[in-house]
Amino acid sequence: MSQTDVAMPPTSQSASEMVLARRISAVREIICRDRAIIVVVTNVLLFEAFLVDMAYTPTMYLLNYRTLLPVGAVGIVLAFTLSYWFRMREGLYQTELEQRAIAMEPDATSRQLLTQERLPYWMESTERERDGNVMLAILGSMAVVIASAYAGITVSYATGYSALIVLLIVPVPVVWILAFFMRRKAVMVLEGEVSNISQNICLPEAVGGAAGTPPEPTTSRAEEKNDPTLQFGALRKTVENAQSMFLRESTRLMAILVIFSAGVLAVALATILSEMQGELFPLGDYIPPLAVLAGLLPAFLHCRTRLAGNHPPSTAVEPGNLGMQSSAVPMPALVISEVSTSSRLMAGSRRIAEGSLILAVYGAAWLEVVMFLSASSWAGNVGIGQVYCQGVEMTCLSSLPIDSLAAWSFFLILLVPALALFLFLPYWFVGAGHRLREETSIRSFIHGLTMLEREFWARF
Amino acid sequence: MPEFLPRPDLYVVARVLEVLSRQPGRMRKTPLQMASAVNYTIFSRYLALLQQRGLVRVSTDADGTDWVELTPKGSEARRYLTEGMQRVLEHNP
Repeated sequence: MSQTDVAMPPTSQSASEMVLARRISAVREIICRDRAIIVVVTNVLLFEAFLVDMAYTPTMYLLNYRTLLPVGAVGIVLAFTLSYWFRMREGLYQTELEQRAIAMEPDATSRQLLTQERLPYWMESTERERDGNVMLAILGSMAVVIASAYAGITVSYATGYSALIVLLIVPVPVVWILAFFMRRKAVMVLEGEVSNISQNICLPEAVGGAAGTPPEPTTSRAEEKNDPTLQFGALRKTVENAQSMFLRESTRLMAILVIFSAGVLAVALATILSEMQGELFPLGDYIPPLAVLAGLLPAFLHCRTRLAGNHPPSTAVEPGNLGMQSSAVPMPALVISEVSTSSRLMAGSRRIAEGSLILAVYGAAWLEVVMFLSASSWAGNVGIGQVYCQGVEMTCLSSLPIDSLAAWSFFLILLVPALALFLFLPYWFVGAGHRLREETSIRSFIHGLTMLEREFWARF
Repeated sequence: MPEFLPRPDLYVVARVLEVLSRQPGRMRKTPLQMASAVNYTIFSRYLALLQQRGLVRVSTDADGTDWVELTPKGSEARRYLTEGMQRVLEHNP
């Protein structure tokens, strides 16, 4: 008669794979949320373009690069950031899958090694979630400020300046406070996460295992959990490390936030200066694009750094491999199948998201062009149209020999989304096809499982 | 089906049966519960369900320790689940 409280049997692959259906359902929920976000962002971009046009047209303000540049730049930055955010969500989901799968691993030594292997990546994912949320908040507020400021200025100088001041003053502290609370929340989430891990799975520190070194075989999970000294020490050390990491990262984030705020402020000031000087003040022509670039560049670099450079090589997630080069224990089949499936699904969803956003930016830019052409066709017929067209001729058409920054900006803004469209359209269709295949496969899989479940309970 | 488990998770059932099938004999409740990856309350409900369906047998020895073992019907149920899963996975590689 065997008493089996010493060593548990390995995870059954046939049984473990059944959990896949539940995970797939979760992935589908995430995809639905992603779709909702895409719809919202697309509408915001289009509304922004519409708002700016409506604000300019009836008040004789001109359709020029100062309209197009912020709309296009904010849209493109938003697309990049959302792409980053989707990748971050994907990483978080993988983290969750891995934690659940590892917690289900009956063998204590395997749990230790797997946790040791994946813990840096889990922390990285949590960190990226915080970064992504803060950046979204910053960009959202930046988009609102720019759109509102342009709209506000055109109403009248007095109300425009007042609105501008309010719009500039309010969002900045709001974003700062938001960032602060997000950081607090992220730290709390991580603390809870680490606490759960250390309570449910023995941490590497708790058993004295150095990185990559298999620790001594343990007796039982119950004994590990009941050792308060080991548990408390390991937990405290891990949380302290996480907190210091967060503080370091939050400082960097705050620096980026300041640059963003400065960029927004510079755009607004340049606008005011240009308006005050009646298009004669040259600084106003150069500050807006520079300011947007000043905000865009560090954000983009930050994203690239986070995406490309900050991942420890041993923790890069590759379906079927899962960064287990240094570990002697293979990742359970469950994790591989789940992560592989969810990665493919999320990759398809991400492609859709990125492609849709680029299309949205392109659509917003073309809305501007349509407005421009409509105004041109009205020339000489309608009062407002005539004035509008004259304004366009003054700033854009007359400078078509491309001797001014305005004309360059105009063409650049049209060119960038057009190029992006041609680059991303095939990408978008590939993503759509990819996801369609996956979803068909998932539906069939879930149907098979449901039938199996019914048959089982009917028979047994 | 008991009221306290209106829609039992087949995955948990499969895990319990699978763990029991890998043991040459009977097994104590606690390690079985740990391998099932559910808390003790939920595990007790699943155990009652499986006992009611005749898939497992629970016995208590002289010192009060509860032991769980797979019945022939339970072994058949495990085989049915394994084959069913293989069938589903083969159709959805």
